[in-house]
Amino acid sequence: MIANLKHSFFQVFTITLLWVTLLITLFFKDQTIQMGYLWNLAGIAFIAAVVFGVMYDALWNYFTLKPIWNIVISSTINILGGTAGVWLFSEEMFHFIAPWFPGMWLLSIVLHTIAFYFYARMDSRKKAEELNKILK
Amino acid sequence: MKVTFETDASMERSLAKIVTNPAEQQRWDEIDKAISHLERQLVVINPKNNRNVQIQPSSILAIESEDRMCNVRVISGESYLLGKRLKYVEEDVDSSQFLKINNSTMINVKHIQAFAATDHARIQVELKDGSSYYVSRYYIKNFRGKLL
Repeated sequence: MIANLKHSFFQVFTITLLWVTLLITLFFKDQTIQMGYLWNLAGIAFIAAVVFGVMYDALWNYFTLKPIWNIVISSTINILGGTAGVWLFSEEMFHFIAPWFPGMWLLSIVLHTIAFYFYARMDSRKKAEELNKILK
Repeated sequence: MKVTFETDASMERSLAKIVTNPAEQQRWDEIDKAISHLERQLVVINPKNNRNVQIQPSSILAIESEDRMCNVRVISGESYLLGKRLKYVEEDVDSSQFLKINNSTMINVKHIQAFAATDHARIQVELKDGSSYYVSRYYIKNFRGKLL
């Protein structure tokens, strides 16, 4: 488990770092940045790796928590990670989108409920049926 | 009964295939029991008196992790302790007989009753003694080969 999570952490970290660098290159190619800003990019990649590489993988594949806990943990960490990522990218952008945070949080809860409750319930039924067929 | 032995390199280790005449099918249970008696015994601790006891792996229902030890539940309803972490127990037991179902539990394939989807969007495995455990999605990927 630890080895797999470590692997997905570094995979997401690398992809996010390259992706954000590509976006910055495309949209802000005329701007100059301070060397210290590279650490902000590393921070964004780190947050994405923790959220998408470790948290979702662990909650979906390894843990057997009740859906309510999956929803609370994932939506909270997702929103906190997202806002922290935006803040690291640009403080100006962070203040600009701040009024929408409550709505984003609500949307996050709705989407995580669909994934961790309704989809998971469907997936569990399907998998249980498949396994019972193999048993017969 | 006359017994002949053959080898097949394509077969996985710890798997033996027994071919009989259809007329002998009613004796399969006897043959299975006779072979089960030959399996390597597992030394566990009886928590009531701290003594070592030898049990047959086929009698084990589930092995659950408990700190640095494991709790071993057997078909008779008794529980024993195993002085090892679960990851080391995994190396000791027959991998075709035991299945890891979540981070802290291994179950005996022989004693699986059925799989069920619970109300809480989780997958549960029910054992023949009526007990049940939650199954992590990650481990389901390994089930197919072992349950066939």
